[in-house]
Amino acid sequence: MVNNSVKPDLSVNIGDFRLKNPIITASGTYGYVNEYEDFVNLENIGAIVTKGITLNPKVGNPQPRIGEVRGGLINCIGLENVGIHVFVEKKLPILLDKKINFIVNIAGASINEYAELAKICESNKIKAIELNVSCPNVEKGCLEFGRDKEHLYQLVSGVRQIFSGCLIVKLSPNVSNPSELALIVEKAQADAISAINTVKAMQVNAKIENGKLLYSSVRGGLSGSVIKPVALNFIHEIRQAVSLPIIGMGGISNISDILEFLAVGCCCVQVGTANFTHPYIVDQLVQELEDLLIKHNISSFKNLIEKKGI
Amino acid sequence: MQEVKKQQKFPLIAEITKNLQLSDDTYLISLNCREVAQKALPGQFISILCENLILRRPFSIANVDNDIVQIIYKIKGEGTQYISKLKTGNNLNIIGPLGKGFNITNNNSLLIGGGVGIAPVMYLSKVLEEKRIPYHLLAGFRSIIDIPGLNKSKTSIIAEDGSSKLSGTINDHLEEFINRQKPEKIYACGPEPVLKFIVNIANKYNLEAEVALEKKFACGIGACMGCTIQIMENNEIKNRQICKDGPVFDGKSVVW
Repeated sequence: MVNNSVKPDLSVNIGDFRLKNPIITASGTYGYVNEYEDFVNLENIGAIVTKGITLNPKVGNPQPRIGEVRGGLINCIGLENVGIHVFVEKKLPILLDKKINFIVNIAGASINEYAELAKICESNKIKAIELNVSCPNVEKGCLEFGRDKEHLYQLVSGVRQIFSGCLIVKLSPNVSNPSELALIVEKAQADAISAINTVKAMQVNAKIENGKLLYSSVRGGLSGSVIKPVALNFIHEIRQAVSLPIIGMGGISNISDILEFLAVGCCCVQVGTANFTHPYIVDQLVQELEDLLIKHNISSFKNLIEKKGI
Repeated sequence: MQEVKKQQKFPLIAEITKNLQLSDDTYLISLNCREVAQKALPGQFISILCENLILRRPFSIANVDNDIVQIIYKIKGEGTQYISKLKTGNNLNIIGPLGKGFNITNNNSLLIGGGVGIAPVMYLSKVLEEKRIPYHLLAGFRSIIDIPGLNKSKTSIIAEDGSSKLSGTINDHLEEFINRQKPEKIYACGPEPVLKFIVNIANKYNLEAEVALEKKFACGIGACMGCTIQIMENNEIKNRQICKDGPVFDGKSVVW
């Protein structure tokens, strides 16, 4: 135990967006607002990223929506959410009232939908948004925005013109050219990249019955510790290409995972699936990070990420 | 002060006082956990961390006795396999009680449990007993199981394999019990097709029916949207999360 020491400064900035500490909870794992308040002190979190929010409410996919594999979770929720209008009316006041630092994750089916969402965020003085660019562009053959340089540029630069706060773009690992896409995000003047979104995956349960091979399956996005090496490699690649701040995520569940993401060039991290296993984990991680800095006599988190050796 | 209190609240560490095998694959485990025991209502559940598995496993509370909380589980996969190997004195990391329980009313009640779905209605029977609300419990199993804590004088067990006096399924005997017990309300938990059947019969006899449902979820607190079901409310279909809005729902509102 380290006692009577001066508390290190854990704060970090992404553009003008200030976080008390670099630990953020990932979209889709933390609800909209205070779902976790029985488990953590929400004011202590660097920021929470809301569930992905669309222009109109979405009912999401039919069951089953969840599959579990060794070290990972596959989800195909299908962006079930209340829509931006209900969010602004019912959820936003709670976030503000409880003094929770937050980032609104938005998802659209067209450039116009993203623009509309960005306008609503701007007019409600939301400080930070994260663009989910892994949605199919229904106007362009349902190709995911985040897989095509041209679409991605149009999308991010369009939102940039509307939204004056901190603009974060969440990249998908399901691409062959991460660095090129990261460069596009930088060129479109986003403030930061968050990565990685979930990895496309399939869980199969197979059995032989009456001489026939039968199976059931869940296809969706894989998260959890099993994707950590994919995430680290993806971030390492884009780090060489851009100087934008990177918010790292993918299988983080303890303090050494966090150090690994900082080591490959992230300034903040997001914790996702681990919240399901340990709903109280972010409080613990913030405390462990603080203890670690005290132990190594580091007075501020910014010093740690600036003095990184290769 | 408040901060310290919050940090200490979870996880709860519960000591196993007994892990009793009831049949080939069904167990009754007793956990010493005052925090849950003091708050738990019939129909609520706890969620157990299973070694290296990412998802916790949820279990309905089957009984509460002073500081002891009991759950009934059937070995289905890695999680329950892990729990079945634990011994008296081992600890479990749990969270709960979670969800919303049965809405207990002062009506003559028929409680129905299919398989390990017996758990929440067994706890409910104990609470009804304390409140002196008349009830009868109908339990359906593949093969008869003796569950300690059940009030046998108010329980009828149906076994598919003929090992009990009543053989067949819950569906086979439901109307006979409704006619005999004349309940005003049904509380049920079990496999979805059985619950659907029960709600249909309840509608036929114009009885209230509350059902405790189950679907896979990741969080248990209404954040992941894994366990969404649809219910009909004021002629509108709405999404609800089993873990947070349920697991107990008005059977008539569930869109099956």
